[in-house]
Amino acid sequence: MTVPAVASIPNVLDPRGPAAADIAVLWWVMFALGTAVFVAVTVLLIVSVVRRRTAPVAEDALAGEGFAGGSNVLMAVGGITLPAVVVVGLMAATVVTADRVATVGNPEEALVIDVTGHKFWWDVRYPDHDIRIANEVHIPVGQPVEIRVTSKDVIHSFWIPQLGGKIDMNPGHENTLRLVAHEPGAYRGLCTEYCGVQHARMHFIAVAHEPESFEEWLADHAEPPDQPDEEGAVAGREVFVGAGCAECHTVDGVSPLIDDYPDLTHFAERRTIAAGALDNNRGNLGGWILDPQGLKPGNRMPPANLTGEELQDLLDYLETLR
Amino acid sequence: MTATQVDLDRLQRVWDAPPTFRGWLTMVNHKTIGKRFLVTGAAFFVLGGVLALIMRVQLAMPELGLVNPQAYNELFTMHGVTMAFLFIVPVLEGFAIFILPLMVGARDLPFPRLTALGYWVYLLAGVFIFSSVFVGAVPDGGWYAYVPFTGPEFTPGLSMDFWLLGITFLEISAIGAGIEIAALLFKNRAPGMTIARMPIFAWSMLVTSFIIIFAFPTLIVGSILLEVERKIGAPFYNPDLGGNEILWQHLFWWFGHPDVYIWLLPGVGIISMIVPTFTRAPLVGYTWVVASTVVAGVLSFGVWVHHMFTVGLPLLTISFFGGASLVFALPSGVQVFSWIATIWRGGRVRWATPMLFAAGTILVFTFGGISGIMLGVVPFNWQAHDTYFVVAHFHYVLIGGSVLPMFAGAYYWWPKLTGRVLSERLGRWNFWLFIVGLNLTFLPLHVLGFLGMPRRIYTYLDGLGWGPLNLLATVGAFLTAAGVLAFLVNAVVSQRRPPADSDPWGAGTLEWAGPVLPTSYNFASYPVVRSRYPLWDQGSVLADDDLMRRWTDPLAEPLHDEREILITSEIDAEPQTVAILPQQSIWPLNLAVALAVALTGLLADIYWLAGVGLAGSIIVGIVWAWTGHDFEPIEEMVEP
Amino acid sequence: MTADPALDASPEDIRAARAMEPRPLAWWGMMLTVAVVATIYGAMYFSYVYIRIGVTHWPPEGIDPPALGLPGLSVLSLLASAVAIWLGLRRSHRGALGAERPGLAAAIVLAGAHIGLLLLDWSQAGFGVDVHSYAALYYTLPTIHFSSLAIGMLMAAVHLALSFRPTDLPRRAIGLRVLGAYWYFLALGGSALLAVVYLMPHVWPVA
Repeated sequence: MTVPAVASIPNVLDPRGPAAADIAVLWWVMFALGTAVFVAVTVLLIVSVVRRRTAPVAEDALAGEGFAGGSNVLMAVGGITLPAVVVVGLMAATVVTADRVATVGNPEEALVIDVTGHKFWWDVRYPDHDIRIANEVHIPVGQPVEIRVTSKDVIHSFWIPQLGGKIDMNPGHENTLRLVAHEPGAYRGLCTEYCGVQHARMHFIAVAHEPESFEEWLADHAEPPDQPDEEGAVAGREVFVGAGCAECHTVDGVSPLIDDYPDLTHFAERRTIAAGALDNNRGNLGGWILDPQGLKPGNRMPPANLTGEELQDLLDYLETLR
Repeated sequence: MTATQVDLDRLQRVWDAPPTFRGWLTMVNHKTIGKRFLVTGAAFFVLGGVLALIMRVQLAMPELGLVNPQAYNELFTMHGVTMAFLFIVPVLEGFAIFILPLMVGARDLPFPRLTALGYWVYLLAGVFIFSSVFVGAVPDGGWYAYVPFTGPEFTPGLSMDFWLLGITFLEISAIGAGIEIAALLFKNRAPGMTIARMPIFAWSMLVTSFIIIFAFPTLIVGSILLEVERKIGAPFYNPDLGGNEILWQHLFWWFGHPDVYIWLLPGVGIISMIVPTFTRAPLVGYTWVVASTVVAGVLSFGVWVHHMFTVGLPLLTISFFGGASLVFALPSGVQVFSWIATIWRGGRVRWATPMLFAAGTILVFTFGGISGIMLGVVPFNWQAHDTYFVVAHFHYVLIGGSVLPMFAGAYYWWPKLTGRVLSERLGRWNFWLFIVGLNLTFLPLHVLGFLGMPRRIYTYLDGLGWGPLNLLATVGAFLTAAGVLAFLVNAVVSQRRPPADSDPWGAGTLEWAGPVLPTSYNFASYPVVRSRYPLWDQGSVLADDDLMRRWTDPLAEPLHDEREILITSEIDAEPQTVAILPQQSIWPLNLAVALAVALTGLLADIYWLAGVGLAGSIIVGIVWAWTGHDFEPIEEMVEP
Repeated sequence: MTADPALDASPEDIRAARAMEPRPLAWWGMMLTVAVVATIYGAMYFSYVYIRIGVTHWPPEGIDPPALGLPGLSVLSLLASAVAIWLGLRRSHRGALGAERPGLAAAIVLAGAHIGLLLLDWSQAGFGVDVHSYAALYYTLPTIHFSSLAIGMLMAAVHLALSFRPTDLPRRAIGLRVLGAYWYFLALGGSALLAVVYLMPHVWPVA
């Protein structure tokens, strides 16, 4: 299956926020320095080999340590001084850039988002707005966001390459990551701490909205979706409850709050299924519901035993969850 | 040879092992045991490489589906475990155990039964860990085994117990070797080999021994705590019951970072032996190189948090560790400059295969070191951590700093190991296939890290742009494997070549004195050393003054058919006394087996078996101590 | 002491001289082994402190800080065993066959008492090893120490048995010396470990 076109390639060198941009600049500077050093060492090696190419093979070994005292100078310059200069420069760059990256944006204005890692999905909540979603993070462009992360089971790691560095999600602890997006768009995020059999398929989508669009999104998600009135969807809601989906998945107004599994209240607006693995469209969703272990073996969703009609009704219902 | 009472037959009778099966089992001689480490380590290298090839095939294209996710996770775990624990350290130990006594002028390592124990423990620990495959409980938590994933809640079953018990068992082997090599290098150097004349490889191994001594035990403690948590629920790492999962990371990486210097320093030391030989010039900046080796060893204990920059520790703390990590550029720079300066100063380079690999090391290791310095810059690390950029970095430094030197050392010391020289033609095939393959495999991985590809994933989505580079890396992996195959073919085919000269490379250090294949006693007349390159600077390494001859002459004739070894002072290597080494012994094998039985009982919760193993270990330990040679009555020691 | 051969010493003199030398190799081996064991103890101290600084209650609710009577006696017993070894070594230097026997025997008994007193404390502790990290550390860390000590006790028992053989004392002296070095280290390291486990809940609690 192909990557959902809903999110860009998570390219660290295609930054969409100031933290990632700073780090990208830092990288290019280091790349230039590193290339220069490697080329210099290679050239020195080649020259030192080639310069004696036509000399006769030495019968006796040279005596003494060489360069008549110059070897100390050579070691001091090449082995100590030059690396030391580079190292001190990099230390300064470290301190400056790390500070800028870690403190991006004014903390007073920061939007707080709580993200909890699970095997193999992301529980995302907006504590100041009473919103709960899964496998997506929505943020306003230009406003700093403070993401507080933890885990419900093993160690995960939260990373949006195009916006900034990653932070580990440790059970029993809380870490904070500050990010700002300076361009609207949808960016792929990934789990970057091996967390088990489906670590490979623990992605999420970070959507950066223009400020007005973000306000709309907040307003929209503060309310539960309207109950369906179309016949198929109503039947589908019964399937949702009857087939056991409601025992794990929360839909505001239909099933109670359950912490351990993804919230599906506004599922129809979600761009992907199975934490970033599939486009959220009807065909993919049907396949996923019937056989989640086929796509993502080892995740915690069991297959659903549904007739064809029940499945269609359920899909109709899920499409109303906006 | 001067006229001394050299009784070669008698020495041979005392030092040779009987050519029987029991003789094979009771072997304590460092040369044989060193070869066993090398052969077994090479086998694990091939095994670990095959695991990697399977992984690379699975990753060659998106969503390939050849290997299921659980199997893939077991593959990458066992690839790491095999390479890190069952290949690199044992092979480097094997080189050290084999060559160091010859290189510093000793007849054997000072605790031969410990040497033998080290090998048997290694072999049995490797079997123990891989027996997990036959039980269907293969470790899948990564070679670094982070909790809580590897704790009782998320990995029930036996898989992680194989890891914990197996690796703790294996560490006995490494720690024993560390203790013994340090003791050798302090107390058993040839007379006149002052500390300032000790070869650089010996210095590397001395520092490496201290790293082993101060690093490995923390992994033992961490592993014991985790095993206790898994078996009886003691919650050291469980945050729900007051535990702290980050404790594992600190204990592991306090061990783990110095561990990579255990992998690096011996390799770098090997190159420092080879470059002078093939340029016929002494290593430039000997003192600088020694100092940088010691500094690297000490510094290796001060940087472990650079594996934890994304854990959420305070910025001040991680900035300190980042800065300390950057300081590694200095000892590395000194070492690389020393090699280049030696080539510059030396005569025309003779491009035998060892020198090819040495040149490869200089470039590949420098490249890997540069990416390492980049990773030490904290904000960059926040992007690159746990991506394929890190995989690229460490394979460059590992292959550049350990594996290429292993090939170099193998070609260089092959005459000492087998009496023959490896084929130069096949050596060139080996080198070029391997080095082109390695770059083709690992260079693209840097870019994949920038494209967001995390580590430890069994597959990836189509359309992320990760496909072409992965395919390239897979092709490179097979090319690299072809290079390894060329080496194995070379090793087999070269046994039919004619025997080598005594010093085929014209080298200057002591291991090349005497016949090309060393006798079981290494030196009949103890050599006396007066320079760093005794074979270049001294006409003969035999004792030439009466003072020395009063030590070396009696040692040429084994008193009462015992294995005598000279003990010299630590700094100036003045003769002090003579020690008697044990002869063949079955107790190392017995102890290794008893320990393995005990651990198997612990693994499988078969308590009576564990008890039997423990009792057996105690009994064997007592017999070992009892039959120590030191306890013969004195009146039989002195000739009437 | 180097058997520095005077220029007129004969090979026989040298052989005789060297046969009387203590064997420094075993001492080096033991010093390096002690370094390994010291690192193990260091890792244990670190683990305790690291877990302690990460909790909200220490000791956890439902567990009182430990009584110090039995552990105190246990530590004294351990230290006394080290003194016993030291006395045994000193007596053995005077050369009489078997002079070290009382010291070795007393050391083994006192080490046994050290372990036994702590096991008695454990039987009265009132909580299991799996209830909290505090409990896990409480029982496991001293057990690791006991294992190291048991190895020393076995070594001492071997020497005790060997003391009945008419073997040369200078030759065995190095064995006793290294046993002593190991034992002194374990006495210090073990006392420090018990101090950490039993005193920390009193002097550095958190609630």
